[in-house]
Amino acid sequence: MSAPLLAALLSAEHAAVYGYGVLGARLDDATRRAALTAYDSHRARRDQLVELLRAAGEAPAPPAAGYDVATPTRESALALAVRLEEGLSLRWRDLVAGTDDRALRTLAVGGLQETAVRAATWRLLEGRPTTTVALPGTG
Amino acid sequence: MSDAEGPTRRALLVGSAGAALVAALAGCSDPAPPPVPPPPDPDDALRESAAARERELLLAYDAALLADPGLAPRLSPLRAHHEEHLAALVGPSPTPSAGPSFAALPTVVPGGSPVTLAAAERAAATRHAADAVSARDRDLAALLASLSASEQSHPVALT
Repeated sequence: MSAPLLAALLSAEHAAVYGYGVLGARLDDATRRAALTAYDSHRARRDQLVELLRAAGEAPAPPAAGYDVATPTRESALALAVRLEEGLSLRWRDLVAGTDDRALRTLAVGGLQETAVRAATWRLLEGRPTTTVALPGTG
Repeated sequence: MSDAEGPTRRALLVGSAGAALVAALAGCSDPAPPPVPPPPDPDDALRESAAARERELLLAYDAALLADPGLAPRLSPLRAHHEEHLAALVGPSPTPSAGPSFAALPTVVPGGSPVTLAAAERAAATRHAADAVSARDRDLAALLASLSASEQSHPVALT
């Protein structure tokens, strides 16, 4: 049953929506636009997961009361964005490996691709020498 | 014409008797039916075509590096990912690659610039993603999904 995997994803998407809402304030205009796009994407994924859980007869969990995301600087804001995307990559890959349902697999592969691309984009903005990883979602 | 019919009929009769004898002998010498080979695992074909895509990308990177060695700092980490992808699909290569080599290159190599490499990466990512959905084995599905995500993200470093 993939409901626990979907619930874990929803939890991570809640955190991402919150995190992007906070970190955007530390970014310059051009970078903030990218963060806003990411924010919208995570909200869409969150809503999609809520619907999937409801369709499976599960009660989707609400966001946590608060998240420990301190982003006082541009660097910490970008580092948080990378962490959020990497955390989601892990969970999307878990869903790929946890279902034989083609529709869920398709969703999960798309989620893994999106989070890997965004993580690479944020690493590039951080100025890291290596921006991509060989096996996204494997930690 | 009766002269011609006789030998022909005889030849036919002998021929069919001979065939029956051969069939009977074959039956005697091989009493057990031949073993039925197991049906091919469709995941093997997915794994092999993914490996072929990785080899093509490695060749495209080699061509780009030979054309412009100054691209090495940018391209080498990405090329290394494809080595890792290939090893994850088919096991580690017995002789580690020493980098670009003229001998390994076919006459015409697609790609050669970061822009064309980015297009090749995206095309491979799309194929890996489709195969990740089709794979029966879940571990193979997850591996192909990671390969797809990696290659979808490579253009970030290329363009």
